Amino acid sequence: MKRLAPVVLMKNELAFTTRSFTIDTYLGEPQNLVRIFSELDAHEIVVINLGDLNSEMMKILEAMSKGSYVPLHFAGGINSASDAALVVGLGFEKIGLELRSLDLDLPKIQSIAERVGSTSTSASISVVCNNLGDYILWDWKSGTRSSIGLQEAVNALNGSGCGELKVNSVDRDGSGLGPDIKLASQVREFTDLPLVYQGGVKTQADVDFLWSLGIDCVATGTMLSTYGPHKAALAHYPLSDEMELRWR
Amino acid sequence: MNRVTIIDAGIGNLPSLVSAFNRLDLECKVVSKPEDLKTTMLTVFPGVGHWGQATSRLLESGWSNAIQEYVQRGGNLLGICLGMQLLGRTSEEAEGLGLGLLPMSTELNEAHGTRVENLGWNRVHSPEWSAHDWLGVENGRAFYFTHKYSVSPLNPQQSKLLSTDFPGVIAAVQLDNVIGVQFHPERSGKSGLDLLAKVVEWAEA
Repeated sequence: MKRLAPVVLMKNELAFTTRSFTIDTYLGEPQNLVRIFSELDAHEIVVINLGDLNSEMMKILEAMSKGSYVPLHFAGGINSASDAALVVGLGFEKIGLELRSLDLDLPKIQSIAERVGSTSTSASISVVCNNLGDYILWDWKSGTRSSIGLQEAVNALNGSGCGELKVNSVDRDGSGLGPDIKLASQVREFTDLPLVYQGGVKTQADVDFLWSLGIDCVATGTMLSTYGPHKAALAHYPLSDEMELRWR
Repeated sequence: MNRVTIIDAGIGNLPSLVSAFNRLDLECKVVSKPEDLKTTMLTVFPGVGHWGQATSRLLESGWSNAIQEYVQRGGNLLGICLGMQLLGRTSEEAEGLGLGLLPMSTELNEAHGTRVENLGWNRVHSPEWSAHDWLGVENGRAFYFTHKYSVSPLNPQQSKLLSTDFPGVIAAVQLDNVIGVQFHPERSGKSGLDLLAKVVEWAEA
């Protein structure tokens, strides 16, 4: 069954949405957002941490886990299999790991998949379109384009032991311009792994269309965390009856 | 007497489960030593991870014997995810003996003709021969699954069970006082909380 997952992006105990990977709208306490999305019966909640995985952060993650009755996915600041095991031990179902370097990140993904299991290991790639119209990876930490092509990255992840792949369109991030259909379709062709797409999603029609392309889960921050043209902070989620009809 | 006991054998995620029972206003006790597993209305056996590591740990720590004796005394047991698989005897994932409380083995999902990982929400269904909904679970209710292996009951018609819309995957199985669920009720939103409440009602009856 297809999923719609709110994204809770956070740093220094604050949640926010981004546009082109820069802060756009502040949303308050991240653990509060997680609790609200859980009460709204979200299919899954994706928590992305842009800060360090320190003791304060672990306390926040523990509070999130206790306050949620739906699956939790955590990404950001995981540097080792031990880090991943700690977060899984708090009750998070999935660990998200960004692929920025084939040499450095693939072994890490493999070791984490071995430690916490492939179904708990979700690899992600952030993608931009270059001047030639080709998709290449984006390193959000350094803010630079990589030389790794989309297909090369997906092929590498297919054999990495991860149980899920998440693709983020940097060009559409927080834009509300609609998803990058070409990107989503290409990644779907390159892998049989369960696939999550994030970037540019604005309406339920966008979500429905991505689902129809074979995307297993649509992740979105702005669409579900803000409301109206001025992007007022307001967490919302389709009613379960409405979602039930879409699943049929 | 505590109404619900949760086994902490070092192979499960406990905080979310404790939180779910607390949400149902149920007193809940976590036990981390086999000798502390006493008479209780319901014992929950959560599990995540690898079959081989889990069976070694259960055997070495004494949990295998403690759980088997608890069930033989008539105690009600709910196994969750790997905790469900460990109610059987063997698994394709690794060597090591499970608890042998239910006549079933565990196989790779691929062996059932589907892709390996089952990540996400699946509907559950009562089998055709079953006259009643299992524990009042409506046909078509969705629960959250995350697993690579799943159980294969040796005599499916002798157990109460639920199938899923993910081909070949058994969602739940029950034989007498032992229940196993492959999905995570503590992470299945309202469906999961409703189910946990039903399991408690069943255990109290």
